[in-house]
Amino acid sequence: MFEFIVSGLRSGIRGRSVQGAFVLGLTLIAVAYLAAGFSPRQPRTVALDIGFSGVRFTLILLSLFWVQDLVTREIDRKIILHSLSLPVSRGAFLFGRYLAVMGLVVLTSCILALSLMLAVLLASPNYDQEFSVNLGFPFWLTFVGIVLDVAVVAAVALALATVSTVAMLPLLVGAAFAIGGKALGAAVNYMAGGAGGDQALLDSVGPWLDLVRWLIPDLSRLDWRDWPLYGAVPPADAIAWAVVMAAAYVALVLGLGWRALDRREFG
Amino acid sequence: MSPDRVTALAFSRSAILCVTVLAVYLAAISALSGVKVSRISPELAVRLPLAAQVMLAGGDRYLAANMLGIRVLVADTFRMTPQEFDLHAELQKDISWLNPAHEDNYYIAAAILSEPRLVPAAQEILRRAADARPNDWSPLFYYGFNRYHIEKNPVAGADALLEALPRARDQQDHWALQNLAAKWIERGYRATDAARLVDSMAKSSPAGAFRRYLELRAKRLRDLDQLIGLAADYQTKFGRRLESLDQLVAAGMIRALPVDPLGAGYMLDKAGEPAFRTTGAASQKPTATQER
Repeated sequence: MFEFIVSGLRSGIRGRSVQGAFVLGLTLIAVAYLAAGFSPRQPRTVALDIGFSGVRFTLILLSLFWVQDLVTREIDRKIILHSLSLPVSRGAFLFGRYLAVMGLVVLTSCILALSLMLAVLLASPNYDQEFSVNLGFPFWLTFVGIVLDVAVVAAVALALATVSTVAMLPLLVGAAFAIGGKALGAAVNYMAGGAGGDQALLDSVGPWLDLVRWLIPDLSRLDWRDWPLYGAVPPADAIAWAVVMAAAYVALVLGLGWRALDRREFG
Repeated sequence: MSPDRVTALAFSRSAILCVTVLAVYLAAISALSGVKVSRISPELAVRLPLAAQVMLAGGDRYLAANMLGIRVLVADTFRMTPQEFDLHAELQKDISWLNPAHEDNYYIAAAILSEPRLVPAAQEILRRAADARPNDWSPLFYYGFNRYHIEKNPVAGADALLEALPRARDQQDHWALQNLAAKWIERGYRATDAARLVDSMAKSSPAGAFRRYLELRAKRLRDLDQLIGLAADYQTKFGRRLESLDQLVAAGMIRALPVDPLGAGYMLDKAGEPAFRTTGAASQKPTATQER
Protein backbone atom coordinates (compact mmCIF):
# COMPACT_ATOMS: atom_id res chain seq x y z
CA MET A 1 0.00 0.00 0.00
CA PHE A 2 2.92 2.35 0.75
CA GLU A 3 3.98 2.31 -2.93
CA PHE A 4 0.50 3.40 -3.99
CA ILE A 5 0.61 6.28 -1.51
CA VAL A 6 4.05 7.47 -2.64
CA SER A 7 3.32 7.15 -6.36
CA GLY A 8 -0.02 8.89 -5.80
CA LEU A 9 1.64 11.78 -3.98
CA ARG A 10 4.24 12.18 -6.74
CA SER A 11 1.69 12.05 -9.51
CA GLY A 12 -0.62 14.46 -7.69
CA ILE A 13 2.05 17.09 -7.22
CA ARG A 14 3.13 16.89 -10.88
CA GLY A 15 -0.37 17.14 -12.42
CA ARG A 16 -0.97 20.27 -14.56
CA SER A 17 -4.68 20.59 -13.76
CA VAL A 18 -3.81 20.32 -10.10
CA GLN A 19 -1.29 23.11 -10.35
CA GLY A 20 -3.93 25.21 -12.08
CA ALA A 21 -6.44 24.53 -9.31
CA PHE A 22 -3.80 25.41 -6.72
CA VAL A 23 -3.24 28.76 -8.41
CA LEU A 24 -7.04 29.20 -8.33
CA GLY A 25 -6.93 28.65 -4.55
CA LEU A 26 -4.33 31.37 -4.11
CA THR A 27 -6.39 33.64 -6.39
CA LEU A 28 -9.48 33.05 -4.25
CA ILE A 29 -7.48 34.04 -1.18
CA ALA A 30 -6.50 37.24 -3.00
CA VAL A 31 -10.22 37.78 -3.72
CA ALA A 32 -10.92 37.32 0.00
CA TYR A 33 -8.30 39.97 0.75
CA LEU A 34 -9.94 42.37 -1.72
CA ALA A 35 -13.45 41.56 -0.40
CA ALA A 36 -12.38 42.97 2.97
CA GLY A 37 -12.49 46.41 1.34
CA PHE A 38 -16.29 46.12 1.07
CA SER A 39 -16.80 45.78 4.80
CA PRO A 40 -17.11 48.93 6.91
CA ARG A 41 -17.11 47.18 10.31
CA GLN A 42 -15.48 43.77 9.99
CA PRO A 43 -13.01 43.68 7.07
CA ARG A 44 -10.86 40.90 8.52
CA THR A 45 -13.91 38.80 9.38
CA VAL A 46 -15.18 39.12 5.80
CA ALA A 47 -11.72 38.26 4.41
CA LEU A 48 -11.52 35.16 6.61
CA ASP A 49 -15.12 34.15 5.90
CA ILE A 50 -14.73 34.39 2.12
CA GLY A 51 -11.29 32.78 2.44
CA PHE A 52 -12.78 29.71 4.17
CA SER A 53 -15.35 29.40 1.38
CA GLY A 54 -12.63 29.76 -1.26
CA VAL A 55 -10.37 27.19 0.41
CA ARG A 56 -13.20 24.67 0.67
CA PHE A 57 -14.10 25.20 -3.00
CA THR A 58 -10.47 24.77 -4.06
CA LEU A 59 -9.84 21.67 -1.95
CA ILE A 60 -13.00 19.99 -3.24
CA LEU A 61 -11.94 20.72 -6.81
CA LEU A 62 -8.38 19.51 -6.19
CA SER A 63 -9.48 16.30 -4.49
CA LEU A 64 -11.81 15.49 -7.40
CA PHE A 65 -8.99 16.12 -9.89
CA TRP A 66 -6.69 13.88 -7.87
CA VAL A 67 -9.27 11.09 -7.77
CA GLN A 68 -9.67 11.57 -11.51
CA ASP A 69 -5.90 11.46 -12.10
CA LEU A 70 -4.98 8.66 -9.69
CA VAL A 71 -7.90 6.27 -10.02
CA THR A 72 -10.47 7.05 -12.72
CA ARG A 73 -7.88 7.58 -15.46
CA GLU A 74 -5.94 4.46 -14.41
CA ILE A 75 -9.11 2.40 -14.67
CA ASP A 76 -10.15 4.07 -17.92
CA ARG A 77 -6.76 3.47 -19.60
CA LYS A 78 -6.39 0.01 -18.06
CA ILE A 79 -3.14 1.14 -16.40
CA ILE A 80 -4.64 -0.28 -13.23
CA LEU A 81 -3.83 -3.77 -14.55
CA HIS A 82 -0.13 -3.07 -13.93
CA SER A 83 -0.88 -2.06 -10.35
CA LEU A 84 -3.12 -5.04 -9.76
CA SER A 85 -0.51 -7.45 -11.17
CA LEU A 86 1.57 -6.72 -8.06
CA PRO A 87 1.12 -9.14 -5.17
CA VAL A 88 -1.18 -6.82 -3.25
CA SER A 89 -4.92 -6.74 -2.71
CA ARG A 90 -7.21 -4.42 -4.64
CA GLY A 91 -8.17 -2.93 -1.28
CA ALA A 92 -4.54 -1.87 -0.75
CA PHE A 93 -4.63 -0.05 -4.10
CA LEU A 94 -7.91 1.71 -3.21
CA PHE A 95 -6.91 2.74 0.32
CA GLY A 96 -3.39 3.65 -0.82
CA ARG A 97 -4.78 6.00 -3.44
CA TYR A 98 -7.29 7.45 -0.96
CA LEU A 99 -4.53 8.14 1.57
CA ALA A 100 -2.43 9.72 -1.21
CA VAL A 101 -5.34 12.03 -2.12
CA MET A 102 -5.86 12.93 1.53
CA GLY A 103 -2.13 13.48 2.02
CA LEU A 104 -2.20 15.95 -0.86
CA VAL A 105 -5.33 17.59 0.58
CA VAL A 106 -3.71 18.05 3.99
CA LEU A 107 -0.52 19.43 2.44
CA THR A 108 -2.43 21.89 0.24
CA SER A 109 -4.76 22.93 3.04
CA CYS A 110 -1.74 23.82 5.21
CA ILE A 111 -0.32 26.03 2.44
CA LEU A 112 -3.72 27.65 1.78
CA ALA A 113 -4.31 28.12 5.54
CA LEU A 114 -1.02 29.99 5.94
CA SER A 115 -1.76 32.09 2.83
CA LEU A 116 -5.22 32.89 4.17
CA MET A 117 -3.81 33.81 7.55
CA LEU A 118 -1.40 36.23 5.87
CA ALA A 119 -4.20 37.72 3.72
CA VAL A 120 -6.35 38.30 6.84
CA LEU A 121 -3.49 39.88 8.78
CA LEU A 122 -2.74 42.23 5.88
CA ALA A 123 -6.40 43.12 5.23
CA SER A 124 -7.43 46.66 6.16
CA PRO A 125 -4.31 47.61 8.15
CA ASN A 126 -5.65 51.09 9.06
CA TYR A 127 -8.84 49.92 10.76
CA ASP A 128 -8.84 48.11 14.07
CA GLN A 129 -12.15 46.25 14.15
CA GLU A 130 -13.83 45.85 17.53
CA PHE A 131 -14.23 42.07 17.37
CA SER A 132 -11.04 40.59 16.00
CA VAL A 133 -10.95 37.17 14.35
CA ASN A 134 -9.31 34.28 16.17
CA LEU A 135 -6.42 32.84 14.13
CA GLY A 136 -5.38 30.37 16.80
CA PHE A 137 -6.95 27.02 17.67
CA PRO A 138 -10.46 27.87 16.30
CA PHE A 139 -8.91 28.77 12.92
CA TRP A 140 -7.11 25.44 12.67
CA LEU A 141 -10.13 23.52 13.94
CA THR A 142 -12.16 25.06 11.13
CA PHE A 143 -9.54 23.79 8.68
CA VAL A 144 -9.82 20.31 10.20
CA GLY A 145 -13.57 20.53 9.51
CA ILE A 146 -12.93 21.56 5.90
CA VAL A 147 -10.47 18.67 5.42
CA LEU A 148 -13.04 16.23 6.84
CA ASP A 149 -15.65 17.67 4.48
CA VAL A 150 -13.26 17.12 1.55
CA ALA A 151 -12.45 13.62 2.83
CA VAL A 152 -16.12 12.66 2.55
CA VAL A 153 -16.42 14.08 -0.98
CA ALA A 154 -13.17 12.40 -2.10
CA ALA A 155 -14.33 9.04 -0.68
CA VAL A 156 -17.61 9.28 -2.59
CA ALA A 157 -15.80 10.18 -5.84
CA LEU A 158 -13.34 7.31 -5.29
CA ALA A 159 -16.12 4.80 -4.63
CA LEU A 160 -17.90 5.97 -7.78
CA ALA A 161 -14.69 5.57 -9.78
CA THR A 162 -14.62 1.87 -8.89
CA VAL A 163 -17.97 1.25 -10.61
CA SER A 164 -18.11 3.99 -13.22
CA THR A 165 -17.47 3.25 -16.87
CA VAL A 166 -17.72 6.93 -17.78
CA ALA A 167 -14.52 8.83 -16.99
CA MET A 168 -16.13 12.15 -16.03
CA LEU A 169 -18.85 10.66 -13.82
CA PRO A 170 -16.91 10.64 -10.49
CA LEU A 171 -15.87 14.26 -11.07
CA LEU A 172 -19.38 15.51 -11.89
CA VAL A 173 -21.27 13.46 -9.31
CA GLY A 174 -18.60 14.27 -6.70
CA ALA A 175 -19.07 18.01 -7.35
CA ALA A 176 -22.87 17.66 -7.16
CA PHE A 177 -22.51 15.69 -3.91
CA ALA A 178 -20.27 18.42 -2.46
CA ILE A 179 -22.87 21.10 -3.23
CA GLY A 180 -25.85 19.00 -2.12
CA GLY A 181 -24.21 17.88 1.11
CA LYS A 182 -23.20 21.42 2.00
CA ALA A 183 -26.65 22.86 1.15
CA LEU A 184 -28.50 20.12 3.02
CA GLY A 185 -28.19 21.83 6.41
CA ALA A 186 -29.59 25.11 5.05
CA ALA A 187 -32.47 23.24 3.37
CA VAL A 188 -33.36 21.28 6.53
CA ASN A 189 -33.13 24.49 8.56
CA TYR A 190 -35.40 26.32 6.12
CA MET A 191 -38.03 23.59 6.18
CA ALA A 192 -37.84 23.30 9.97
CA GLY A 193 -38.50 27.06 10.15
CA GLY A 194 -41.76 26.63 8.23
CA ALA A 195 -40.36 27.29 4.69
CA GLY A 196 -41.39 30.95 4.91
CA GLY A 197 -45.02 29.88 5.38
CA ASP A 198 -45.11 27.93 2.09
CA GLN A 199 -47.22 24.92 3.08
CA ALA A 200 -47.19 23.47 -0.46
CA LEU A 201 -43.39 23.38 -0.42
CA LEU A 202 -43.40 21.77 3.01
CA ASP A 203 -45.81 19.08 1.81
CA SER A 204 -44.01 18.36 -1.47
CA VAL A 205 -40.32 18.65 -0.54
CA GLY A 206 -40.46 17.88 3.19
CA PRO A 207 -40.84 14.06 2.91
CA TRP A 208 -38.07 13.87 0.27
CA LEU A 209 -35.75 15.92 2.41
CA ASP A 210 -36.43 13.62 5.35
CA LEU A 211 -35.24 10.71 3.21
CA VAL A 212 -32.26 12.53 1.64
CA ARG A 213 -30.82 13.60 4.99
CA TRP A 214 -30.23 9.92 5.82
CA LEU A 215 -28.57 9.17 2.48
CA ILE A 216 -26.34 12.24 2.19
CA PRO A 217 -24.39 13.52 5.21
CA ASP A 218 -25.00 17.12 6.21
CA LEU A 219 -21.57 18.56 5.39
CA SER A 220 -22.49 21.96 6.85
CA ARG A 221 -22.16 20.26 10.26
CA LEU A 222 -18.41 20.19 9.63
CA ASP A 223 -18.32 23.96 9.21
CA TRP A 224 -17.20 25.49 12.52
CA ARG A 225 -16.20 28.93 11.26
CA ASP A 226 -18.50 30.75 13.69
CA TRP A 227 -15.82 30.20 16.31
CA PRO A 228 -12.87 31.97 14.61
CA LEU A 229 -15.17 34.56 13.02
CA TYR A 230 -17.51 35.50 15.86
CA GLY A 231 -16.28 33.73 18.97
CA ALA A 232 -19.38 31.47 19.04
CA VAL A 233 -17.95 28.20 20.37
CA PRO A 234 -19.75 25.18 18.87
CA PRO A 235 -20.94 22.60 21.43
CA ALA A 236 -18.40 19.78 21.90
CA ASP A 237 -21.00 17.09 21.18
CA ALA A 238 -21.94 18.80 17.89
CA ILE A 239 -18.28 18.63 16.82
CA ALA A 240 -17.81 15.05 18.05
CA TRP A 241 -20.94 13.69 16.34
CA ALA A 242 -20.11 15.51 13.10
CA VAL A 243 -16.65 13.88 13.09
CA VAL A 244 -18.22 10.46 13.79
CA MET A 245 -20.73 11.01 10.98
CA ALA A 246 -17.99 11.95 8.50
CA ALA A 247 -15.65 9.12 9.51
CA ALA A 248 -18.42 6.52 9.36
CA TYR A 249 -19.58 7.75 5.94
CA VAL A 250 -16.02 7.67 4.57
CA ALA A 251 -15.56 4.11 5.90
CA LEU A 252 -18.93 3.05 4.47
CA VAL A 253 -18.40 4.38 0.94
CA LEU A 254 -14.77 3.18 0.81
CA GLY A 255 -15.94 -0.26 1.99
CA LEU A 256 -18.55 -0.34 -0.78
CA GLY A 257 -15.90 0.86 -3.26
CA TRP A 258 -13.51 -1.90 -2.15
CA ARG A 259 -16.22 -4.49 -2.62
CA ALA A 260 -17.09 -3.15 -6.07
CA LEU A 261 -13.42 -3.07 -7.12
CA ASP A 262 -12.90 -6.64 -5.93
CA ARG A 263 -15.76 -7.81 -8.12
CA ARG A 264 -14.92 -5.72 -11.16
CA GLU A 265 -13.41 -7.41 -14.17
CA PHE A 266 -11.01 -5.48 -16.32
CA GLY A 267 -11.21 -7.01 -19.75
CA MET B 1 -11.05 24.43 -61.98
CA SER B 2 -7.58 25.53 -60.84
CA PRO B 3 -6.68 25.35 -57.09
CA ASP B 4 -6.23 29.16 -57.02
CA ARG B 5 -9.74 29.66 -58.32
CA VAL B 6 -11.15 27.20 -55.73
CA THR B 7 -9.40 29.11 -52.93
CA ALA B 8 -10.63 32.46 -54.24
CA LEU B 9 -14.21 31.12 -54.47
CA ALA B 10 -14.07 29.74 -50.89
CA PHE B 11 -12.71 33.06 -49.64
CA SER B 12 -15.45 35.09 -51.34
CA ARG B 13 -18.11 32.72 -49.94
CA SER B 14 -16.81 33.05 -46.39
CA ALA B 15 -16.57 36.84 -46.81
CA ILE B 16 -20.21 36.99 -47.99
CA LEU B 17 -21.23 34.82 -45.01
CA CYS B 18 -19.37 37.07 -42.54
CA VAL B 19 -20.85 40.27 -44.00
CA THR B 20 -24.37 38.78 -43.95
CA VAL B 21 -24.05 37.60 -40.35
CA LEU B 22 -22.63 40.98 -39.33
CA ALA B 23 -25.58 42.73 -40.96
CA VAL B 24 -28.03 40.44 -39.14
CA TYR B 25 -26.21 41.06 -35.86
CA LEU B 26 -26.30 44.86 -36.29
CA ALA B 27 -29.99 44.69 -37.28
CA ALA B 28 -30.74 42.70 -34.11
CA ILE B 29 -28.91 45.26 -31.93
CA SER B 30 -30.75 48.11 -33.61
CA ALA B 31 -34.13 46.37 -33.20
CA LEU B 32 -33.43 45.56 -29.54
CA SER B 33 -32.58 49.17 -28.70
CA GLY B 34 -36.12 50.15 -29.67
CA VAL B 35 -37.81 47.37 -27.67
CA LYS B 36 -38.54 48.14 -24.05
CA VAL B 37 -37.72 45.47 -21.47
CA SER B 38 -40.92 44.14 -19.92
CA ARG B 39 -41.33 45.33 -16.33
CA ILE B 40 -41.41 42.37 -14.02
CA SER B 41 -41.63 42.70 -10.27
CA PRO B 42 -38.36 44.31 -9.11
CA GLU B 43 -38.33 41.96 -6.14
CA LEU B 44 -38.32 38.92 -8.41
CA ALA B 45 -35.72 40.54 -10.63
CA VAL B 46 -33.18 41.09 -7.86
CA ARG B 47 -34.15 38.87 -4.94
CA LEU B 48 -33.68 35.18 -5.49
CA PRO B 49 -35.30 32.57 -3.27
CA LEU B 50 -33.08 31.53 -0.37
CA ALA B 51 -32.59 28.02 -1.75
CA ALA B 52 -31.37 29.44 -5.08
CA GLN B 53 -28.97 31.77 -3.30
CA VAL B 54 -27.48 28.88 -1.31
CA MET B 55 -27.14 26.68 -4.42
CA LEU B 56 -25.50 29.51 -6.40
CA ALA B 57 -22.92 29.77 -3.62
CA GLY B 58 -22.10 26.07 -4.00
CA GLY B 59 -24.23 25.14 -0.98
CA ASP B 60 -22.24 27.51 1.24
CA ARG B 61 -24.65 29.77 3.15
CA TYR B 62 -21.82 31.94 4.52
CA LEU B 63 -20.63 32.69 1.00
CA ALA B 64 -24.23 33.42 -0.06
CA ALA B 65 -24.52 35.86 2.87
CA ASN B 66 -21.27 37.61 1.90
CA MET B 67 -22.25 37.94 -1.76
CA LEU B 68 -25.61 39.42 -0.76
CA GLY B 69 -23.91 41.57 1.87
CA ILE B 70 -21.67 43.20 -0.73
CA ARG B 71 -24.76 43.94 -2.86
CA VAL B 72 -26.46 45.62 0.08
CA LEU B 73 -23.33 47.57 0.99
CA VAL B 74 -22.92 49.16 -2.42
CA ALA B 75 -26.56 50.37 -2.54
CA ASP B 76 -26.82 54.17 -2.62
CA THR B 77 -29.17 54.96 0.29
CA PHE B 78 -29.53 58.61 -0.79
CA ARG B 79 -31.28 57.68 -4.04
CA MET B 80 -33.45 54.80 -2.85
CA THR B 81 -37.24 54.92 -3.29
CA PRO B 82 -39.56 53.60 -0.54
CA GLN B 83 -40.05 50.40 -2.58
CA GLU B 84 -36.30 49.96 -2.78
CA PHE B 85 -36.02 50.41 0.97
CA ASP B 86 -38.63 47.65 1.39
CA LEU B 87 -36.59 45.40 -0.89
CA HIS B 88 -33.41 46.36 0.95
CA ALA B 89 -35.05 45.23 4.21
CA GLU B 90 -35.98 41.89 2.65
CA LEU B 91 -32.44 41.36 1.35
CA GLN B 92 -31.03 42.16 4.78
CA LYS B 93 -33.43 39.65 6.34
CA ASP B 94 -32.12 37.07 3.85
CA ILE B 95 -28.52 37.81 4.91
CA SER B 96 -29.58 37.49 8.52
CA TRP B 97 -31.09 34.08 7.82
CA LEU B 98 -28.01 32.92 5.93
CA ASN B 99 -25.57 34.23 8.54
CA PRO B 100 -27.25 35.83 11.57
CA ALA B 101 -23.89 36.87 13.05
CA HIS B 102 -22.95 39.09 10.06
CA GLU B 103 -21.78 42.33 11.73
CA ASP B 104 -22.08 44.67 8.74
CA ASN B 105 -25.61 43.43 8.14
CA TYR B 106 -26.99 44.16 11.59
CA TYR B 107 -25.17 47.49 11.74
CA ILE B 108 -26.58 48.64 8.40
CA ALA B 109 -30.04 47.39 9.40
CA ALA B 110 -29.84 49.45 12.60
CA ALA B 111 -28.73 52.51 10.65
CA ILE B 112 -30.86 52.36 7.51
CA LEU B 113 -34.08 50.53 8.39
CA SER B 114 -35.30 53.41 10.55
CA GLU B 115 -38.72 54.07 8.99
CA PRO B 116 -41.45 52.71 11.29
CA ARG B 117 -42.65 50.24 8.63
CA LEU B 118 -39.10 48.87 8.23
CA VAL B 119 -38.31 48.64 11.92
CA PRO B 120 -39.86 45.14 12.39
CA ALA B 121 -37.32 43.85 9.82
CA ALA B 122 -34.50 45.66 11.63
CA GLN B 123 -35.63 44.22 14.96
CA GLU B 124 -35.72 40.68 13.53
CA ILE B 125 -32.18 41.10 12.18
CA LEU B 126 -30.91 42.62 15.44
CA ARG B 127 -32.49 39.94 17.62
CA ARG B 128 -30.95 37.17 15.48
CA ALA B 129 -27.58 38.91 15.63
CA ALA B 130 -27.84 39.25 19.41
CA ASP B 131 -28.48 35.50 19.71
CA ALA B 132 -25.68 34.56 17.28
CA ARG B 133 -23.01 36.88 18.71
CA PRO B 134 -22.61 35.96 22.37
CA ASN B 135 -19.84 38.50 23.07
CA ASP B 136 -21.32 41.52 21.30
CA TRP B 137 -23.58 43.95 23.17
CA SER B 138 -24.19 46.22 20.17
CA PRO B 139 -27.12 44.32 18.53
CA LEU B 140 -29.02 44.44 21.82
CA PHE B 141 -28.16 48.11 22.19
CA TYR B 142 -29.62 48.97 18.76
CA TYR B 143 -32.55 46.66 19.40
CA GLY B 144 -33.24 48.53 22.64
CA PHE B 145 -32.74 51.86 20.88
CA ASN B 146 -35.47 51.00 18.35
CA ARG B 147 -37.83 50.00 21.14
CA TYR B 148 -37.09 53.29 22.84
CA HIS B 149 -37.02 55.60 19.84
CA ILE B 150 -39.48 54.04 17.36
CA GLU B 151 -41.90 52.34 19.72
CA LYS B 152 -41.50 55.12 22.31
CA ASN B 153 -41.21 52.40 24.94
CA PRO B 154 -38.36 53.46 27.27
CA VAL B 155 -38.89 50.53 29.66
CA ALA B 156 -38.64 47.87 26.93
CA GLY B 157 -35.61 49.71 25.53
CA ALA B 158 -33.95 49.74 28.94
CA ASP B 159 -34.66 46.00 29.33
CA ALA B 160 -32.66 45.30 26.16
CA LEU B 161 -29.78 47.43 27.46
CA LEU B 162 -29.79 45.51 30.73
CA GLU B 163 -29.74 42.23 28.78
CA ALA B 164 -26.65 43.56 26.96
CA LEU B 165 -24.84 44.46 30.21
CA PRO B 166 -23.08 41.10 30.84
CA ARG B 167 -21.61 41.22 27.32
CA ALA B 168 -19.82 44.57 27.83
CA ARG B 169 -16.16 43.68 28.42
CA ASP B 170 -15.09 47.28 28.92
CA GLN B 171 -16.03 48.81 32.28
CA GLN B 172 -16.83 52.15 30.61
CA ASP B 173 -19.29 50.44 28.24
CA HIS B 174 -20.81 48.64 31.21
CA TRP B 175 -21.40 51.89 33.09
CA ALA B 176 -22.64 53.70 29.98
CA LEU B 177 -25.25 51.00 29.28
CA GLN B 178 -26.38 50.96 32.90
CA ASN B 179 -26.56 54.75 33.01
CA LEU B 180 -28.52 54.98 29.77
CA ALA B 181 -31.00 52.31 30.87
CA ALA B 182 -31.62 54.24 34.11
CA LYS B 183 -32.00 57.52 32.19
CA TRP B 184 -34.53 56.03 29.76
CA ILE B 185 -36.65 54.63 32.56
CA GLU B 186 -36.41 57.84 34.59
CA ARG B 187 -36.96 60.49 31.92
CA GLY B 188 -39.01 58.67 29.31
CA TYR B 189 -38.53 59.36 25.57
CA ARG B 190 -36.50 62.34 24.31
CA ALA B 191 -35.57 62.88 20.67
CA THR B 192 -32.35 64.61 21.69
CA ASP B 193 -31.12 61.40 23.38
CA ALA B 194 -31.89 59.52 20.17
CA ALA B 195 -29.98 62.16 18.16
CA ARG B 196 -26.95 61.74 20.40
CA LEU B 197 -26.96 57.95 19.87
CA VAL B 198 -27.22 58.25 16.09
CA ASP B 199 -24.38 60.81 16.19
CA SER B 200 -22.22 58.31 18.07
CA MET B 201 -23.03 55.67 15.43
CA ALA B 202 -21.90 58.13 12.74
CA LYS B 203 -18.66 58.83 14.57
CA SER B 204 -17.82 55.14 14.81
CA SER B 205 -18.43 54.58 11.07
CA PRO B 206 -15.75 55.01 8.40
CA ALA B 207 -15.87 58.30 6.46
CA GLY B 208 -18.11 58.22 3.40
CA ALA B 209 -21.73 58.22 2.29
CA PHE B 210 -22.84 55.92 5.09
CA ARG B 211 -21.48 58.25 7.78
CA ARG B 212 -23.06 61.28 6.03
CA TYR B 213 -26.39 59.45 6.05
CA LEU B 214 -26.16 58.88 9.81
CA GLU B 215 -25.18 62.51 10.41
CA LEU B 216 -28.28 63.64 8.51
CA ARG B 217 -30.40 61.26 10.58
CA ALA B 218 -28.97 62.80 13.75
CA LYS B 219 -29.63 66.32 12.45
CA ARG B 220 -33.29 65.62 11.71
CA LEU B 221 -33.67 64.12 15.19
CA ARG B 222 -32.24 67.32 16.69
CA ASP B 223 -34.63 69.38 14.53
CA LEU B 224 -37.52 67.21 15.69
CA ASP B 225 -36.47 67.69 19.28
CA GLN B 226 -36.48 71.46 18.72
CA LEU B 227 -40.03 71.29 17.25
CA ILE B 228 -41.25 69.18 20.20
CA GLY B 229 -39.81 71.77 22.62
CA LEU B 230 -41.42 74.67 20.71
CA ALA B 231 -44.78 72.86 20.61
CA ALA B 232 -44.66 72.58 24.42
CA ASP B 233 -43.75 76.29 24.71
CA TYR B 234 -46.62 77.18 22.37
CA GLN B 235 -49.09 75.34 24.59
CA THR B 236 -47.74 77.09 27.68
CA LYS B 237 -47.85 80.50 26.01
CA PHE B 238 -51.26 80.31 24.28
CA GLY B 239 -53.03 77.72 26.43
CA ARG B 240 -53.96 75.48 23.49
CA ARG B 241 -52.30 72.75 21.44
CA LEU B 242 -50.77 73.29 18.02
CA GLU B 243 -53.05 72.52 15.08
CA SER B 244 -50.35 73.01 12.47
CA LEU B 245 -46.59 73.37 12.63
CA ASP B 246 -46.91 76.59 10.63
CA GLN B 247 -48.46 78.20 13.72
CA LEU B 248 -44.96 78.18 15.23
CA VAL B 249 -43.78 80.39 12.36
CA ALA B 250 -46.90 82.59 12.54
CA ALA B 251 -46.36 83.06 16.30
CA GLY B 252 -42.79 84.17 15.63
CA MET B 253 -41.33 81.30 17.67
CA ILE B 254 -39.22 80.10 14.74
CA ARG B 255 -38.22 81.88 11.54
CA ALA B 256 -38.90 78.89 9.26
CA LEU B 257 -39.61 75.24 9.77
CA PRO B 258 -36.51 73.07 9.47
CA VAL B 259 -36.13 71.20 6.18
CA ASP B 260 -35.88 67.44 6.65
CA PRO B 261 -32.57 66.45 5.03
CA LEU B 262 -33.97 63.01 4.19
CA GLY B 263 -37.02 64.50 2.47
CA ALA B 264 -39.88 62.97 4.49
CA GLY B 265 -40.73 66.13 6.44
CA TYR B 266 -42.42 66.80 9.78
CA MET B 267 -46.06 66.73 10.83
CA LEU B 268 -48.28 66.68 13.87
CA ASP B 269 -49.26 63.19 14.93
CA LYS B 270 -52.71 62.20 16.18
CA ALA B 271 -51.80 63.38 19.69
CA GLY B 272 -50.76 66.78 18.29
CA GLU B 273 -47.05 66.13 18.88
CA PRO B 274 -44.44 66.94 16.18
CA ALA B 275 -43.22 63.74 14.50
CA PHE B 276 -41.58 62.58 11.30
CA ARG B 277 -43.91 62.21 8.35
CA THR B 278 -44.40 58.56 7.49
CA THR B 279 -45.42 57.11 4.11
CA GLY B 280 -48.78 56.02 5.49
CA ALA B 281 -49.57 59.39 7.08
CA ALA B 282 -51.94 60.73 4.45
CA SER B 283 -54.52 61.57 7.09
CA GLN B 284 -52.14 63.80 9.01
CA LYS B 285 -52.02 67.53 8.48
CA PRO B 286 -49.11 68.65 6.28
CA THR B 287 -47.42 71.98 6.98
CA ALA B 288 -47.42 74.80 4.48
CA THR B 289 -43.61 74.71 4.37
CA GLN B 290 -43.56 71.03 3.58
CA GLU B 291 -46.26 71.46 0.94
CA ARG B 292 -44.03 73.97 -0.80
